[in-house]
Formats: sequence, structure tokens, C-alpha cells
Amino acid sequence: MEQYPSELTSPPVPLVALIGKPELHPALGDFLRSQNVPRVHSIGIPDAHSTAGTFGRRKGTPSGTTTAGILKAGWLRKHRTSKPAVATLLVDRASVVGDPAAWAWLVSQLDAVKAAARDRGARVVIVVAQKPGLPAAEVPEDRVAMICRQAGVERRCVLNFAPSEGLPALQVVGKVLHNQAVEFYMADAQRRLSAHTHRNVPSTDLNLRTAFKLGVLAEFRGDWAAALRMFREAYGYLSQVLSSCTGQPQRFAEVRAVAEYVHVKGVSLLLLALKQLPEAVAQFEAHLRLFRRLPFTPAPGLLASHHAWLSRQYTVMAELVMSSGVDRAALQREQQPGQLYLAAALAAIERRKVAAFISGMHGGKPPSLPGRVEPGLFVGQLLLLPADPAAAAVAAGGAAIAAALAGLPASALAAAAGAAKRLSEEQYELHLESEEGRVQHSKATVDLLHTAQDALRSSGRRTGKTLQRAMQLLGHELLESGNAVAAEPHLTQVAAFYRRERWEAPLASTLLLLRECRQQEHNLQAHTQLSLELAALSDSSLDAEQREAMATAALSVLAAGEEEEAGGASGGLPASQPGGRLAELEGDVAQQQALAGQRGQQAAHQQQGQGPPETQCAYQVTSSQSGWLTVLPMCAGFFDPTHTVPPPSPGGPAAASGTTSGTVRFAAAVWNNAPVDLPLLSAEQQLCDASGPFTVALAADTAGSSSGGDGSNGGDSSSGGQPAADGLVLQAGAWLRLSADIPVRCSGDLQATSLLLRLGVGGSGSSITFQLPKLFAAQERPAAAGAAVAAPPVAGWLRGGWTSSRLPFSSSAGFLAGRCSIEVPPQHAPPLLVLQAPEVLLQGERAVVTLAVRAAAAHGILGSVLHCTAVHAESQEQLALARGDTDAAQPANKVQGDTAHPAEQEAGQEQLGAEHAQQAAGLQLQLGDLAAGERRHLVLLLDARYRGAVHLSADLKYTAVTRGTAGTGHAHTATEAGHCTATLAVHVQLPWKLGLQLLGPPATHSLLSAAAEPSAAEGALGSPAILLLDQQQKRLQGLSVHDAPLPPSAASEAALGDGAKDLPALLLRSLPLRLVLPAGQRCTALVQLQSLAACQLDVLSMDMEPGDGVRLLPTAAVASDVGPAAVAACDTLCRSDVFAAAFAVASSAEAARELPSLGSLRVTWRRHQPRPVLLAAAACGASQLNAAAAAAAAETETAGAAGLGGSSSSIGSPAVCELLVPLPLVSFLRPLLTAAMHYPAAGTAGQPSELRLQLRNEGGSSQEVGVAVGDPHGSLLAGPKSTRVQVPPHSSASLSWQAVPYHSGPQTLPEITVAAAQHGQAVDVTRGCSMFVHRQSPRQEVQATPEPSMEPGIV
Amino acid sequence: MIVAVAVVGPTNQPLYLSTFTDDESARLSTLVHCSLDAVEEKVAAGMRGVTTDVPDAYLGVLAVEEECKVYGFVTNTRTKLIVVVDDPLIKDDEMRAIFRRMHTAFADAVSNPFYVLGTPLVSPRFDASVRTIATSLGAAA
Repeated sequence: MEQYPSELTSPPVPLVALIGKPELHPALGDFLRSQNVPRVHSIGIPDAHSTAGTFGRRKGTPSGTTTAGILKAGWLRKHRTSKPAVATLLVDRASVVGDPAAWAWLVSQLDAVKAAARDRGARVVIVVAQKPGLPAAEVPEDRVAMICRQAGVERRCVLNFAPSEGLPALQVVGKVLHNQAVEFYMADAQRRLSAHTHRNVPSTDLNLRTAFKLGVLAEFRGDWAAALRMFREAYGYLSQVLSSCTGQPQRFAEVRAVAEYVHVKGVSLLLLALKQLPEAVAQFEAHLRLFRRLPFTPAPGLLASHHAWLSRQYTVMAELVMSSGVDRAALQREQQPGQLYLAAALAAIERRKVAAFISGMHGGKPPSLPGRVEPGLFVGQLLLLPADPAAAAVAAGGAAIAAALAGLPASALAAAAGAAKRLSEEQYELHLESEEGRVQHSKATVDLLHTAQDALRSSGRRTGKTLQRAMQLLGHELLESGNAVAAEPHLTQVAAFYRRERWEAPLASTLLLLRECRQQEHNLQAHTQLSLELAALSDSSLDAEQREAMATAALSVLAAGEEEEAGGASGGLPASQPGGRLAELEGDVAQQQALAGQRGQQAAHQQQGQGPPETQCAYQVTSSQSGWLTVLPMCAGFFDPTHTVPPPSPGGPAAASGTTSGTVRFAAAVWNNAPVDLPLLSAEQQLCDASGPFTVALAADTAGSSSGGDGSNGGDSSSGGQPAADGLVLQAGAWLRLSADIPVRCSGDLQATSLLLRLGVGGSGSSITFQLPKLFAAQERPAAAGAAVAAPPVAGWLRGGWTSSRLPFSSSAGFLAGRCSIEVPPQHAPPLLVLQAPEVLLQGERAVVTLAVRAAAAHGILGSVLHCTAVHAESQEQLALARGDTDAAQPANKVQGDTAHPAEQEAGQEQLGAEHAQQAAGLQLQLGDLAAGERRHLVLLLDARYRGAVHLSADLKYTAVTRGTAGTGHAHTATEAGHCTATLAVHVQLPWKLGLQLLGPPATHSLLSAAAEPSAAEGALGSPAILLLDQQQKRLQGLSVHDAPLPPSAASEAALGDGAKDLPALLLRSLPLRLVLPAGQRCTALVQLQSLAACQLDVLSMDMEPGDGVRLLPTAAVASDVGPAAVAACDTLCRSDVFAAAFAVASSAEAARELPSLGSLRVTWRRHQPRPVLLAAAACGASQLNAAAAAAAAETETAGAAGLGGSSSSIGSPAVCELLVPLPLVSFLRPLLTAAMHYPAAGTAGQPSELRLQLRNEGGSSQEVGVAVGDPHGSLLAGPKSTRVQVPPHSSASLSWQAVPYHSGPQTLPEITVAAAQHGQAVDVTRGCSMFVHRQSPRQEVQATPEPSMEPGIV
Repeated sequence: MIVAVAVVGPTNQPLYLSTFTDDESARLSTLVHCSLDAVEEKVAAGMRGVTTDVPDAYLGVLAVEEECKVYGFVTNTRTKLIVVVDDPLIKDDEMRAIFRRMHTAFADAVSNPFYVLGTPLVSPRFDASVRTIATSLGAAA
């Protein structure tokens, strides 16, 4: 929109003049411009006597019919900026109500304003302003009447304005001023309409002008409907005016400019004010329909200016649509802003092309005119001024001043003076041509294309293909501007898109541009490829001769392979005009062929020596979007090695087509879309198998049984079994079928990695490498997406109609098109490999894994190597494997914990070091040679260190020996590499769950314990450890010091780290972080080992090794607590059975201290069953047997091994495992307050027994202890029932009771509760205590019966 | 006047393209290709030429560029028939008749037992039918 003046792009606003009292102008003007509704513009005049000429003079009624133009260039701006509709005189209230002198001054001002406004009919408004800060005061009515009479205005046009009233006062003024302006514009429109009606012979130009002006005046009034009606009427006259423009370029340009004026006003009104999108679109289409085509054959300058005009129309329409805020979903595609911008860019491109033509006409220099061209008095007109501006100014004289005052453009000065004149048609054309030379066309076009792309992307519509076109245009313009580097990525992307869409014509035009880019970048290798691809497109803009010449030139470059020599030919063809220099091109081709011949001789000499053919240009085809696949689409694949060709006659022998006597057949066919034949130096296929990569030369395939093409299609260029590098030619429009019988080096996966074609003649040339897996993998997508038509398995753009619709090789012969990988069956009887392992392994044990290898009965194997790995699935760590048959003498597998003894740790470290060395690459065993039918049995020990799944893998590599007479009839020996791989997944489970209970000394109860001294370990553990200590203390302060396993916290897991995967670490983690025991007292550690394994386990021994500072006291023998299922042996545990052991421990010293560990627990165990349930996996050659077959094979091999008396003994005796679990930290705390109950172990019914409570306070302050007696539990109790005892520091106190049981047998002691009053802690000191009560003897019964009164103090 | 006729396959591959003006085949081919955006949009949104109960194969105007208008028609097999005309005053009924004739010619061409679906239409008979239809609307023979 910046192409237009502001008065055209924004709606007109009424203009008023503020006269007098300049101090009020800013506030009043700002209010009118920004806050008043509708807005009003204002100009300020400081004095009423300076208003002469401000309002202009009303013209007389025009009588003539001839006009110099259609629309005055400055008319609209004049009425918007310098010709006010209302004269607003601002006067002081003092001058109105003051003395006669002030009144006289007011009258003179009124007269001056009245005289200035009278000629043009402007409205007059008098505003009586009061002084700021004073309240509003009425103006006497007689004075108001006198003002009205003096100024000739109505009463409503005299306002009393008090600035102190603020906004309401301003709104009153604004409303009156706007109403008066509307009345003025309405009266002016009526006057103009009346004057136009009274013309005698109105012309079309005047009709148009009048309608336009009436429309603008309606806009001033805010009457949008009337304005739209008048603009449409004005536009309607344009078709009549246009019909009179034939052969008059200047007149046409003027009419076109006026049409643009009217169109922009109308469309702006429709879109911005009325929001009528369909009407605006209709107006736009009508506008373009009327002016798109020039009514006569234009000169280049006018044509260029017309394209610029068209581009501007599209751009402005797009901007208006985007800025209008209307819903664009209702717009048709072609009316979307993105499409409009694209159309604008297309017009700009056309303009650039014409400008280039003009520049060529004038030799690159813009033409010059004898003067200076300026806009004329009327819209669309131009005037020619003298070259010297001073002379024009002098000639203008006084008339120029009047023109300037009238608001006319600068050229009007000279025009009014007669110094300027209209241009002749020749001068006008020359002026347009010179203007085109000053414009940066490419930059403007590139900007438009960028804008179009942004608008298309943000439109929310499907614009993928349109965007590609915009990108192609962008690349073209960048290339035209000389920025080939910036153009190349755009064009490359577009070319890939059109290749994928397979649209030849757009692709060809893109390739032409891209080829030009490559030429400017001096990339002749890519340039040659693009030339050949361009020549391969039959629907391009090139004719057959041009394509053939281009292909020949490219071929000469490829054949010569020398870039310096190729430069002339490939660069000699202009990209924009590919066929423009055919004769010159043919000469270049001949020269290139000669040079290529010389190069070929040199290369031939090299080839006779030892080097490969010389290739200078090496192309890599790694994507299905490569341009080479446009030129050379291809099909490749293996023949099915298991495919059997039906016998030619019934009863005849069937033959395998894909493999013969140790070979696998591979075939590739290349179609040539280029218009010329392409000679090949060689064709090689690179393959890869288990032994590594290798290369095979491809030879032309005979069109025999394997060929799918027949002679009728004419698409076969094979020459019948010719060897490689001997006359291979890619004939135009035909298949070249190549194949090779690949000798099988080893069985397993055989992959065709790349196909190498060397193009050239003689000995030198270029190479093209097709990366087959990438090409055919990418091609599988459309077929997988469910396309309606299944794409043939051909990589590239295959053309050729009926010929190309058939595969180059027959699928009935076993050809697998697109299969670049195949499983090669072994050519010998492969050995059998059996792998066995327990179904469930127990963590911490060394599981026995057995391996059996049996050579086939017909073939021995040489140099066999067995590689075994065990990988923990979760952590991907390799687990240790060791030979079990050599290490079988070692009885136990020792699993080291973190706190093992130093000697054990050292030994363990050595063993672990060896194991880690093995873990790096698994276990590799040299089995050597096996004769035919020989068995080999191995036992491995797997260190099941971690829980979870473990993948066992055994890979046997060997060399098979075959002897036979195939082919030659003579006995021969052949070798073939082979491998067997058996894999097995086993699961490692946790075997044990460990529990630890610590019991305090019997009958001694600690009410309070002293806090342990803070240590470094405690500080490191932080507050969680302290909290844990408090919990332990609370447990200790109670009678039960049972330390149940706590849930592992995050801190403890982090402290344990990766070692938590080990069984000792896992068991340690199940224990509390810290144990608390009373110092110096005998405590009991009760260890519970619960079996979690699904099988039976034998616990052979359990020992506790006390740590430093801990004494292990003699105690009873190891106890066991087995479940009801265990009946035979107490140390054989089933699942969930518990093995328990108690140890008596005490601290070495009486003082409180913290020890790093209570010690360690050593558990020796093993599986109860000698033969666990085994899983088996077996492989015969490269194929792995199924589960049933593997189990059968394992059974057979196990029986065979037992028969041989091999290492089956190691399977029969389960390995003994020793588990060393470190115990956690222990804190020995000194009890502050203890309560000990002393009572006899036995008593006699009816006889008193003494119960004595001993309280001991080891602290430094006195403790108050409350003692209460509860349930006597079948005894008569004499003594204090409830009392409080003060225990002094470091002293003892005691209480005693006499209990008389009256039942015999085991009897619980009376319930006595002791509580520390200060700390609120209580303990039942007799809980769990009992005594045995004997029956009273008869004599004692007799004596005791008559003395019932002897029971004093019984509670 | 018809200036170009194209048949585009279900996967937007060109099956047939014929132009009836000089030196504008590349531009018209690109224009037809760009109009496939509108075809996909209309087919996806169900926006057909006329709102009726029966789905209408006639797609109406697909694109406008300068004097050229692109009209479209889609068959039941998602094959698109595209016609480019430079007559701004042509009516929809005329275009429907043209597309009906083209559809008949296309059905005859693909009924050839030797024609492989998805491959370019190189039948001379189909080409002659298209040219007859185009010349009936003023195209250069």
C-alpha cells in the first residue's frame, strides 16, 4: 500500500480551521483528531485577519466540454489537508461581554472570517472561550444574538466553551464542528451535482470526475453507501473512456491510473469499512478483466509498466485482504493472499523479462530525455520540464505562486507558466524505458516471492505443489540476480520434489536452472549429471536433437573423465536456451570424443599393468530421489537359492535355479532413459557376507531361462554371456541385464551392498555406484502405504510403456526383485551345536552350562572356534563364564561381599580380574578339528551375579571340508566357512531373604539410653541416619529390640551404588542401616534365612564372624525352624521355609561406641537336586532349531556324553556356594535407667515367693520411676500396688513383692509396669516371665489350711 | 478455448498431458500440477462443484492464472481429468459436457487389456478423442 499516497489509502476526514486564541489549538486539535467520534482534522490560524485565501474561491459554473484530464492530481489532498469545511473563530468571553472597544475588535474578526469563508461557502462557528480555571459563565443572550446577526450564522453555531469543564465541553464543540462540516460537504456535493447536471454536453471524463468527487465528499460525511455507489458509477464510466484509448499509450496510462484510483477507493471501502468481501473480490476481478489486456500492441516500455501495474494491483489486493480482518476461509483459492502475491510475482517476473529486453535494445544503458519528467496536473499524466530547473522557475513567475497556493503538484508551477508540456508518444515510451532501467527488478521479485511463500504457508490450505512452484520461481530469480549459491538449494529441493512426483516438464525446467547454477559454480561433475538427466526427459522443452546433443556432450565428459577437457562442452550450452548452439555443441562433442579417446588409450595401458580403469568422476547414488535414477533406473536382486525349476520333461530331475554347486546367483538390470547408448567399461557388484566384503564382476546375462523379457519387446540389450568389460553397452530405451554366479564363501546372510558401473570408452571413464539397500528400502514405502497400483520393484523412473511394465528377470525362475540380502544355505552338512542351562539360575551361584558340538556324519570341520557370551539383559553387562570341566575340582564358588576378609578379598580380586578380562569379549574356546561324526562336550560355569534375564549365546565358527566330483568329474576338495549360533535366555532369581533380630538381655530392661557420641560416619549419613538412630533407641528403650527390615531409602540405595546388584549387597540392603545394642550386656542376634527359590536348597552351615569390638559369646547349638514341608532333613529348605540361627553377642567394652560392622554372616548352601530342569537351544548350521527339536537333540547329546563318560559328573554334583554377607553398623549404647526383675525360677503353690525389682540409674540426675501392679495372673501378691520411687544418680533402688501362687504348673508372673515419669516411657518388666509352680505336699497342705490370716500385705 | 488437457493418476503421477498452444507446455504443465493442490483439498473436504445429494465428480474451477482457468473432474478411481481453458466466459454446463466426453474416452482407453494401470496413456485413439473434444471448443487442432 505504500505505492499510493496516504489520501488514497485512508478514508477522508472532515477538516476544520481553528482561528484565533492559539493557546487553545493544541488541546482542541488533539481532541478532535484522536477522541472525537467521528474524527475531525484541524488546521490552526492564529489570527482571524490572516484567513484570506485559506478557504479558496468557488469556481464558476463550467460551460465547456473539453477537459485536459480526468482527475486533478492534488484535488483529494487539497480537500483533506488545506481546504477546511468549517471556520471556527475562538474568542475570549471578555471581548464578548466587555467594553465597546473589545466588541469592536470582535466584530472586525467576525467580518474577516465571514469574508474569507463566504466565497467557498464554508460554515462559520464562533466559540466563546472562557479563561482557564474559571467556572463556566453564561454569555448574555443579547450578545449572542448580535454575534449571530453579525456573522450570519444560526444560534447553534455560537458556543460557550469553558476549558475547565474538560471533556464534556470538548465533546460539545466536536459535535457541532462535525455537524457543520457534514452540512458543508453535503451542500458542496449538491452544488457540484447541480452544476454537472446543467452542463450542456457532459463528457464521459466529466461524468467520471464528478462521480468520483461526489463519492469522496460522501466519504467526508461518513456516508459509506453513497460513497460506494458513486465510486461504482465512476468506475462504470471507465470502460467507455477506455474504448477511446486505442493507439494512445499516454491516454491509456492516464485512464489506467484513474481506474486504479477509483478501484482502490472502492475496494478499500468494501473491505475496511463495509467488510463486504465477496463484493470486493468481484470488483477486483472486474478491474483486472477490464485492464489486464492492453487494447493495442504495446511498445516494450508500456508493456513493462503494464506488468508493474498488474503486479501492484495483486499486491494491494493481497494487502487489503490481509489487513481487513475478514474471514479468509470463504475466499476461493485464487483469491487467497498467497495466490495473489504469487500472481504479483509472476507479473513482476514478466516485467523483469521485458526490462531485460529493453536493456538489450539500448545496449545496457537507459535512454535519456531532453528534459525532466514530472507528474502532471492530472492523475496519470506526465509533463516534460526543461532540464534546467532554474529556468523553469523563472519562467513560472508569479503564476507559480498561485498554483502552489492551490495545492497543485510541483510540476504545476511550470505547467501554469507554460514552461512544461505534455510528452509526445515517443517521449513517453522513451521515458518508460528509461524508468525500467532504474528499477532493481530481481530484488522486488524475490521479495514478492518470499512474501508469497510465507502467505501460502500460513494460509492453512493445501499448498504443497504451489509452494514448490514458488520456490522454483525464487530459485530462478536468484539465479537471474547472479546469486547462484542461494538459488541452488531451492532448485535442488524442487527438483527432488518433481522427481518424486514424476512430472517431467516442471522437472525439466527446474533442471535447466539447476544446471545453470552448477555451471556458474564450475561444478562440472554435477553439471554433466544434470545434462544427462535433462536429456533423458522426453517431455522437456528440448526437442530430440537437442536432447541427443546434450547427452552426447555429457557422455563425452563421462567417458573422458577429465574435467578440464569437459569444461568446453558442458559449459558451452546456455542453460536458458539449451538448444541454441547445436552446431557449436556438436563441434565440442567431437573434440571431447577425441580427447576421451586419447585418455582411453592411456587408461588401457594402465589397465594392462595392474591398476583398475581410471575414473575421474565418481557418482554415488544413495537415494531414490537421485537424478541418476531418472537416467538409469534399475532392478536388482538375488535369485532364490531354494527355488527349484520344474523339470523340462515329466519325470526329469528338478534343478535349483538360485544356486548351483556352491554359488548364489545375483542379477541386476539397468534401463537407459538417455537418448544415446552408454558404453560401460565394467560392472561390478560389491557384496558382504560373514567373512567380510568382496567384489564380483557382473557379466551380461543371456536372455535365456532367467530372463523375463523376450525378444518381442525389443528391450533387451544383453549380448549373451559376454564377460565383463568386453563391449557392455547401455542401449537407449532398453534393459542391460547383468548377472553373476557368486561363489559361496560361507553360509548365512549375504548382502549385495552396491553396484558399480564404470562408464567410458577404452580405459578411462566415470563410475556410478548404486547403494542398493538404500535404493530398494526407500522404494518399499509406496507399496506399504497401500497404493492402488503396486509399484514395480524398480528403483528410479522407468519409462518405456509396455516394455518397462515387465520385470527384466522372470520371477518364475526365482528372481527376487529388490531383495538385496539373502540367507545362503550351507553347502555342507553343518554340525550340531547344543546349548543347555538350568531353567532358573540362583543369584550368587555358579550355574553349570553345558555345550555339545557334534560334527555331521559326512563332513568334518576344521579350526572350529567356540565363542560364548552371557549378557545381563537389564544392564547389558557381560557375565563371567569359565570352563567348568577344568575348574570342576574347585568345590566352591566364593562370592565376595564388601567386607570380606583381606585374604579372601585378595584372592577374590585375582579371580575377578581374570573374569573381567574374559567378560570383555566373552569366552573363546579353540575346539580345533572335529572328524566326521565326532562329539565334543563342554561344561561352562556361569557366574550368575545379577538378577534378571541373562542371554546366553554360543557361536561356533568353523571351516567345513567337502569332497566330491561335481562339475568336473574329478575328485576335488573344497572348503567353506560356516557358523552355528545357539542362543538361550535364562532367568536369575534371588535365592534368599535375610532377616536379623537383635534381642536385649533377658529380664533386664532399659528405660533410657545415652546418646552415642557423634562420629564421622554419622555425620556422613546426615539427618536420615540420626532419625534412624532415634528409632532404634526407641526400640531399645522398649523391651523388644527386634530390628525388622526397613524399606530401603533412596539415600541408602545411592550409598550402595552398583554393588546393590550383588547378592550380598542385596541382602545387606534388606537389613537396617544401623543396629543399636546395650553396651556391655549379653544380646542375642537371631538370623532368619528364608528360601525364595523354586527348588529345594540345602543350608550346609551358617557362621557369624564378629567384627572388631564385638564378642561372640558361647551359646546353644544352631537352631532351625523349618516349615511343615521339610521332614527329611532339617537343612533342606523348600520355598518359603526359614532357616534360623541365634548368636550371642556383646560389646568388648562397657563404654558406648560405634562399630563399622557387627561382623559378617557366612552361609554355605547348594541346590538340593543334582539335576535341575534344563533348557536347551540347538542350532544346525545357520538355522536354529525349534524348542522341541532342541530338547530332543539335547537329550541325545547328554546321553552320548554320559556314554562317553565325559564331564557328566560335573552336572551331577551341584556346586557349593558360599555367601558372605556383611552386617551393618552397630552402636553400643550405655543404658541410663534399667529395670531388672529378679524372681525364682520355681515355687510352690501356696508358698510365698519373692519378686524383686531392681532399678539402676547410671545418669547424673535423679530419675523418678513409677511402678504399678496390674493383673496378678493367679497369684496373691503382697507389696505396693502403685508407687513412685526416686532413684538418685549413680545409685540403685529396689522394690519387692511376695507372690503366693495358688495354681500349679507354669505360671506367668504378675503384671508389673515400670515407667520413667520424666520421659513418659513405660515397660512391662514381667512380660514373658514365668515360673513353674510345684504342687504343695499333703503335709504342707494340712499345716497351711487352718492359718488363713497369715496373708498380710497381699494386694 | 481449451489450451491443455491432462489425466493425472490416483497418486498424482501424470498419465497424459496435451497442450494446444505454442511454447507454453512447461507453464501449462506446471499450472496443472499446482492445481492438484485444489483437487486434493476439494476431494478431502467433499467440496464438489454443485451441492447435490449425489456426489458430483465435477470439481469446478481449480485455479486461475492470468487468462487461464483450470477445471477439474475426478473419477471413482481417483483419476483426475484436468482441462485448462482461456475463455473467461465458459459456463459450468459446457465444462461438465466436456468432462463427460473425456471420461468416456478415458474409460475406453483403460479398458484396453494391454494397458497397465498407472502407466502413461499412450493410446493414439485416446489422444485423438481428446483432440477432437478440444477442437470442438476452439482449440488448435
